[in-house]
Amino acid sequence: MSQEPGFLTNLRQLPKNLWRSLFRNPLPSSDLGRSQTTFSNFFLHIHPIKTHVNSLRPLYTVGLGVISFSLFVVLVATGILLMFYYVPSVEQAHNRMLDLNGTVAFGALLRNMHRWAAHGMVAAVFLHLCRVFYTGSYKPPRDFNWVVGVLLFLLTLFLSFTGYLLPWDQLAYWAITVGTSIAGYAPWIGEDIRFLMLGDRLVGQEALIRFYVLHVAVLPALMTTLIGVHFWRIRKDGGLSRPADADLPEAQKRYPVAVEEKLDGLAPLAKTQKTRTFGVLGLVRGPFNKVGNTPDNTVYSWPHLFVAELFTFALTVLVVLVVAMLVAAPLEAPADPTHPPNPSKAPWYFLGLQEMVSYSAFWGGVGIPGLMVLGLLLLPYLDRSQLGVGEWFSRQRILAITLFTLFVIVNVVLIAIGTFFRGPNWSFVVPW
Amino acid sequence: MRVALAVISVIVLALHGVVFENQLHARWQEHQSEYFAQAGKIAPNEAVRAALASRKPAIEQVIVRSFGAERVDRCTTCHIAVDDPRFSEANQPLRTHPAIPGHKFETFGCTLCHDGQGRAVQAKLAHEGGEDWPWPMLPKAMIEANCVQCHTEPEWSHAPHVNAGRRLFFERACYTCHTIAGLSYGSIGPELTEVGRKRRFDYVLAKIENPRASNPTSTMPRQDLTAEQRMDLAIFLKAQQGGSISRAPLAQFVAGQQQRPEWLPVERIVGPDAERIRLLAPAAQGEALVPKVGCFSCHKLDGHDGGVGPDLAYTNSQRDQAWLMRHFEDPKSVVPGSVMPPYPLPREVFEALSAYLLGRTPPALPAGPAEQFAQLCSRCHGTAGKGDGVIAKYLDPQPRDLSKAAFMKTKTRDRLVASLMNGVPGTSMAPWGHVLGQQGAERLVDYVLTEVVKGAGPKLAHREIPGHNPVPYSAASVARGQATFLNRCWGCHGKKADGHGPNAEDIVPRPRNLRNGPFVRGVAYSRLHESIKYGVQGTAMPAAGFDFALDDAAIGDLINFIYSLNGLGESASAAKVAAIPSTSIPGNER
Repeated sequence: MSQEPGFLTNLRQLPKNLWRSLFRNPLPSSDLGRSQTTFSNFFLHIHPIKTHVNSLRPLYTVGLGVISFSLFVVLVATGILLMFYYVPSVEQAHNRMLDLNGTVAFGALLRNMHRWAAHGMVAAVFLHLCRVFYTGSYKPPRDFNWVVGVLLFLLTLFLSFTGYLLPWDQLAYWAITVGTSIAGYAPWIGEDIRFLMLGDRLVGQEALIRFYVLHVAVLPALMTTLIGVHFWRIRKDGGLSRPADADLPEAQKRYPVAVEEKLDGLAPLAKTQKTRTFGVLGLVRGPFNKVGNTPDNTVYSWPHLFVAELFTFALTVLVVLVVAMLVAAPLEAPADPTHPPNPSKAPWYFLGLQEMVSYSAFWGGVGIPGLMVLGLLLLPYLDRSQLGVGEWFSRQRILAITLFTLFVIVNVVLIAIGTFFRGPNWSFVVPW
Repeated sequence: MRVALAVISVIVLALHGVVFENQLHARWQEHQSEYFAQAGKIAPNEAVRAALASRKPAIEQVIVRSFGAERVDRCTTCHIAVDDPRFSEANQPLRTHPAIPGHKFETFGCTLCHDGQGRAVQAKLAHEGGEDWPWPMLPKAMIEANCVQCHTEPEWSHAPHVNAGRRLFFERACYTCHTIAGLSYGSIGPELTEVGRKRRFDYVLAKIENPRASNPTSTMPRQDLTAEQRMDLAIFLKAQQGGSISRAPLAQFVAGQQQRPEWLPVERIVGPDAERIRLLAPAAQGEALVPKVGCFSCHKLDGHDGGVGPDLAYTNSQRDQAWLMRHFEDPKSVVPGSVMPPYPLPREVFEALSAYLLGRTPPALPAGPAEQFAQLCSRCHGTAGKGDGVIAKYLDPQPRDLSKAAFMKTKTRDRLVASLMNGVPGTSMAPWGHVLGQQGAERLVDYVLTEVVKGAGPKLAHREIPGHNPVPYSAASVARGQATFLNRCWGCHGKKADGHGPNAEDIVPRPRNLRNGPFVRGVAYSRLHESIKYGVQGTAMPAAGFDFALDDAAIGDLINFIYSLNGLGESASAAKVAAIPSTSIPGNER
């Protein structure tokens, strides 16, 4: 019988025991340890224990999903810090911006990071959407996750848009005036939607508090929930998409090499071997759960996936940090409802809409964008062919790729025209 | 991958180091430390020295609550020695501020006078306030624009630039178009009551220098000002900040509610000279007032030329007292397309100006028609007669392109001579008959027809033009004419018949404004009928009689409709008989 440890022993072993209880496993040096680490850690367990090598190819994913999520993390962190100083009142908001820019410790840096990360996230999420399209990854069984992704993109736009008003400067005031006017062009209910957003006929205190609540509470909560669903569905839909031949034939299969395991006092499990048995996992529905000798080209998520993700996160933080240190977020004169700048422009990602609105209010502001969003949402249910899945620009999907590329080019060109080629009175100007 | 991760992590950490370093060792802290050290050296006793030595840098601020919205000025964080008289010779930011009696820092702060962005504690941000900050720090000479927010007494001697700018505001006729509450009531240009609060100083200055700098469609005439005058005017405008911060809100409300007066007191425009001028004879009064009330900012007279309006030197041979008075009171009543604003001045001033202009001797007429053309015609029609004279862009309808054969060679010489002699009513074409005489006018027309017109005109077929309207004026006829107009004519002439139809932008010369009453009343019925039926050669006006198959009766309806727009009705249509055939028809010439 082992002796019960005394109080002094407990005290001496406190750090070690604390560490052990915190992390459960020692830094893994065996495949078993790698599996257990991934499996038993709350923050890691959303990942699979093993990851397909195709999902780790930097040129396949371009890391855009992780970049988008990293930007979201940066935005939450900087946003919460900014909330300590910001006051959503028309009298105070702009002065608080001045204080953040001028006097608050790290205020300008936080504000710059938040601003540029927000713009970056709109771009990154859109590029992620493009990546998923061009690799055919929206096809069944990942069809619903594409829909969740499109909703996340819309949420990103709306989060950025609601945040745009908060500095309460001229840029913010008139961009939101233009942006909400576009919503007002919807037939029958347009004016009601606008009133619901603004709480008033004009952008004012009511609009500011509404946008603030949406920006710091409602939308982030929705976003976090949907991100969870998005990640969950990746696992349940069989991981990231990959070409049908990504799994090697039997002759080239790589099996984990049995090594002498340092078990650090843990109960030894069965040695890693060619034939594996699965318990509950074997019952999990899905096309990619392997039982027995099916082709396998996976590696352990620890460290391969986690290092890649951490690298992408660090790189994203680095870029945001450098941009924020070099480029100040714009802050114009305090909002003045009697003095519209000419031209008044919506945020850049809505300038394509504004450009279209300059031709036709209904079609540019509501009709065409509505059709675009509807088309994106329904895409995986209209194109269910399994050809070319997991391959960039597959020749078998030439029609779909051409149409989507046209959609991207039209939007980029419209945004570029709205951003750079429109001067006073929305007349065409050459920017150089 | 792991190496890359390690490298990036180290870089991110290093950047955080830079961020913390910048935050923890700000420039303002260095400035304060330097001040404590220097003040310590000249401290009178040990206790003060010890107090200074133990002082830690901290953000200093003045919260100003006595003047309008609350201001937070942290300027003294760097400029910590502003009220320490021993630092009058020190380098900025540690120099003493010159003492101004009655102006305490703790009451007034800094930005109230200097502008800038008081909440920032970095020099560039505080002084310039960022790219779009509307109130960057004012250079020393311009601070008076803020002094006069409280020192509102007129002609305050410490604000020479503001006073000079106010004089220019009237001399250059700015007041006729722009409103500054309590000062002027023009409604053509944007209101300037708050321009100094809303616009950056450099924007205002650039706008004075070139009105189209920031708005390519601005119709504001460019003023010929020296650099100092532009600066004075800009400082005066900078001082317009929408009511004075020294006045109670109630007083400002009452001032804003004041009724717009019919005219401005002469004293406000002319200044202290008004009393002296009032004692002069009318013509002499006019002479004294012309440069003061703003005529020269547009018109040409003697050595002055505003580059916008016609030459006034020939007024006494072109206009009479009644015309001048109507024109002063409402320029658009005689020339509907005039850009001249109605002058908010009392009737006596108009009478004095009329007396002066009508009493002047016109300049000597040069002998040769070429010299006459250069002196009389080229200001509007251009030196080559192409209708592109220096003031052409301000005239509506624009001056005729006299070099265009298609127009000039299809009109009779008599009609051209008549236009020159009698002018064209409702336009800026003045009657030159008294200046030139019949023979002189004919000589000038011949000169234009031979030397200015380029090429030969088209040959015209015989034309049949009724001398009076074949359709009697009636409501039914007007309705028929209106239907035709809305079917055929509005694309160029506009739905309001004001010459601004959707196609008008691309047409030169512009489609006629058919609501130009003086013009429609002034031309013969047959000329309108001919223009509609056969078109106007050399312009975009098509031959509606053929292109649209309108018969004489339909054209009569159309003209009745045009008459109805100009309040002519029954009385007019009957009488109009052409005195002069307006088009030269081969075989039909006199």
